[in-house]
Amino acid sequence: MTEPEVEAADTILRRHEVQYVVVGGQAIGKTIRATGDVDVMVTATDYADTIAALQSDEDLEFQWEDQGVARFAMRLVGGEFLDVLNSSKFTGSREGGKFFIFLLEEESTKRDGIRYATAAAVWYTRLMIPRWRHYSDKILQDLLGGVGAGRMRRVVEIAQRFGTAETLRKRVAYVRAEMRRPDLEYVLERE
Amino acid sequence: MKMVSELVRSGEANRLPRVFVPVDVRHRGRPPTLYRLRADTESDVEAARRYGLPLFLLTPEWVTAHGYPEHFRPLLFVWEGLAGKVSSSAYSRVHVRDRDALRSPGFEEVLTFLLKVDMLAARELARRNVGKFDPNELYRRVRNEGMEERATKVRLQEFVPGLPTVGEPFPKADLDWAERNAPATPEVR
Repeated sequence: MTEPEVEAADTILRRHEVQYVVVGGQAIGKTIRATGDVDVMVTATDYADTIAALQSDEDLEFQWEDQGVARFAMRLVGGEFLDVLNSSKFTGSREGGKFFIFLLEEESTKRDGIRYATAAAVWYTRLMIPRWRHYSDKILQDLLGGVGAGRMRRVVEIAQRFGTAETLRKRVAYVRAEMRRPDLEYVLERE
Repeated sequence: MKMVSELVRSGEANRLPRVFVPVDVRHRGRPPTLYRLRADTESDVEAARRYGLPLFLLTPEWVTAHGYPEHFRPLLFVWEGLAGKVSSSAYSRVHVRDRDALRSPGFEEVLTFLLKVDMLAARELARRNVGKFDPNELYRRVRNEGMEERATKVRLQEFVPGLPTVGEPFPKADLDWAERNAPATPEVR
């Protein structure tokens, strides 16, 4: 079943013929956190046009744009946020649109007509942003919700593919150390 | 060294609620029957608490009621001595070192529990409740749980004077950003 916030975002983005992938907590069904925010990624070439188009949509209220993320409040669902991410921020040494194509072709699944990133791709995007520390607990919450810790191995593979392994090295080590905390009860898959 | 425990029926417990599931039935003259606790609902948790078991269900309603609207699946905080003896199809389990903190947890105890799983929410909750809690009690609870490092990351020392700094705090600018983007305190009508 599609969450109402995702449905609202989908309605708006379809109206503007934007191709997108849901990449935030809404993409991870098992997390303990039920977020109302919807994070979507668009390809680097579409980002500027998408932001311009959404700014004129009467169902949205533009909040801010910073470091390749634009935030809108969705009037249809009580002001929950729609964050639009520019895929070029995650593509590392490769050409801007490559990460988005990778998401579409290899690291996402379609449910009810909406494309959702895999848990590994969501974790990768969380760890790639400058404020990654904010999202490290969200990864722990996903684990508590039942997402397998082994996904972190896939995060490293994605980083190697896009030449971002060095950026992520310390960040992945940090999260892995947190994953081993004895006070959190979940099955720690072999990595 | 780690203290471990078993769940066994005490003399005064004549009829046990269904949350106590026998796992190792013994006969007269043998060692007592061992039990596991199965907590799938809030009333299961309440039933177990009535029997004095050290566990607490943290709900989004509690966090929201203290000024920070949150949506999450309730989390079951369990004394670490019962680790592996509590199962649930509904709640993830987080262990608590200090059994006493689970007896009748107030704001300071619950904030410390929250610190284990969502440091930014814990900081925001402390910030929004300055003057309403006892910093000395929060200091004691954070130290009892060994959460100084996570407390330091979110600079909880700003609200708990004297709390030891362990490790590196998150950049202040990042915490300010989180504060600006945190959900607003719900209006009380």
